[in-house]
Amino acid sequence: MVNIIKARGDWSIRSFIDMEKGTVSRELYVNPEIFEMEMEQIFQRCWLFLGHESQIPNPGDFVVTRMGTEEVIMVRDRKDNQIRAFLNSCAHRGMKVCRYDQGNTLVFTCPFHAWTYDATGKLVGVGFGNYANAYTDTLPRAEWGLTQVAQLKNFYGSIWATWDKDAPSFEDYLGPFAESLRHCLQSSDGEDGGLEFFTPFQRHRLPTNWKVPGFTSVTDLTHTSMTHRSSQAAGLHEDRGRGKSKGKPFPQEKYAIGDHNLGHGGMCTFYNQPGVPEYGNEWFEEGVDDYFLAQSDKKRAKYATRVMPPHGWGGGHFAIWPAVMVDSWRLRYYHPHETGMTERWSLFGVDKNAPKNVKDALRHYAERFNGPIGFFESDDMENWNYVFPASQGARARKNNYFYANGLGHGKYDDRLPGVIVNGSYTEEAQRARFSRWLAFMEAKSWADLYPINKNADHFIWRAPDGSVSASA
Amino acid sequence: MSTTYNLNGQDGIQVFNELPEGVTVTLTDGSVGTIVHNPQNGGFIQVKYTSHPNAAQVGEEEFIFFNQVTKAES
Repeated sequence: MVNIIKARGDWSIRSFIDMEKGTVSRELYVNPEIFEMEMEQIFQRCWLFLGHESQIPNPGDFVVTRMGTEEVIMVRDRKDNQIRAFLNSCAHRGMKVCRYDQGNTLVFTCPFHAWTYDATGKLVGVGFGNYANAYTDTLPRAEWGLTQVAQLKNFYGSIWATWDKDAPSFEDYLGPFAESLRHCLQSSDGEDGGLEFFTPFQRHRLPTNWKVPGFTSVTDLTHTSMTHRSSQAAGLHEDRGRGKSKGKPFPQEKYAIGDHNLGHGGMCTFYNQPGVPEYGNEWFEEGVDDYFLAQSDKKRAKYATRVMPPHGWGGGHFAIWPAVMVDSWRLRYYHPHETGMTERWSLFGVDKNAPKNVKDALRHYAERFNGPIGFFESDDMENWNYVFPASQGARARKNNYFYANGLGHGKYDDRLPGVIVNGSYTEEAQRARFSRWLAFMEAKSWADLYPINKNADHFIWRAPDGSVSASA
Repeated sequence: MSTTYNLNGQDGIQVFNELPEGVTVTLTDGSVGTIVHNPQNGGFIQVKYTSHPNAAQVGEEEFIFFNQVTKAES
């Protein structure tokens, strides 16, 4: 129960969502108490994206990443080459033991009292520990290491972790989206784990609640037409070289999709036959199309008898609950800092075996398309800058957000079991995220969240066309 | 030709911070060891014991805080 001093009546978490009308109270976005609940109920439990193994290729390499509001060190051990992750907080008095974004080290030494930890998180040294009576018999070092994540998964090169030992396996957490994520982590010739990611990655600080971009930008085709209208007019959209040839049409369908049980979803393309679409020349830079054409032929051979899994394409993305956006060339994740402050980190991928001219072309594209001085991201910043301040006032927060676009018109689809498929300009994916949001906010533990069964069906909205029964 | 590193005075911390691998150090308890790694954090060096009051420790590696080092030479 959220304790908010307002004359609204029912302040149970469930009361913030009108499941019949498809609306969501703005309190969910502007209320600090709800934000604190989210950090505990959602970010302490979920599998969260830490980064990619290509960020730390060598023994001793580390990168500081985040899990919710907290910093986490992701480090590759010098001895066993394993990747581990730890809370960036000294066990002694809580100081950051690492204040660099990335680097290579043997140990992490706290600058406060010199407590020192190796890459397994073990406490290997303390300052002045040799002095008379210092720490004597009072410091069982094995109990005073860095706090390690409860589970860590290397999924085709992408690194994920959770603080909750009872969370299901990462593959179960992904459910039907496991193959979609795997596909997005393949190189352009269809090789598993064939990507590396440019470093350093891009960071944008967004003065807004994490759910504004985290729940919206994964499947919001409508905003593309308006927010990015000027960039599109300038020919700076997804095409890398406007005016070049397009491939032949390939049987496919685009939908907004939402997994109301697991929270994932987005704007995905379903493919209706084995193979891959014909490659269409799209790059300005000389030689790049030749590379991707050859890669495409290799991938076509791999998929000669296989249908590609649904995934974001042609401007589409899908989201891994709660706040990771995935598509064919980037991973973006939203870190909540405060109720009205979020950081978006963007990793841009490239075939790790690609020649330099191809890597340069992709890097330049990422910079001009998505970079801080690029065109597309500055468009989005207009929305990220002003949604929160325009929603948090005493009057504005009494209103609801409208999420009923397409409500009641989705259907289940055998190609992604358990997932509701709806028109590509609907808000099906956003609603799925609120289904999962409510489940997490009400759950006492993972036992209430997984495995998914009839009693744990968290689809909360008005039933679509008789094909789905709401169980709210 | 041997080199003795002066760990005292204003420059001592910088000298300690840059002690190279392979330098022999003598510790306050009489132990002697070789630096196998210096993370250059100003606090610790990793030392492999070549001599130790407890013979079982010889060959072991340990992180040594700067105040335990009485002498460094190569």
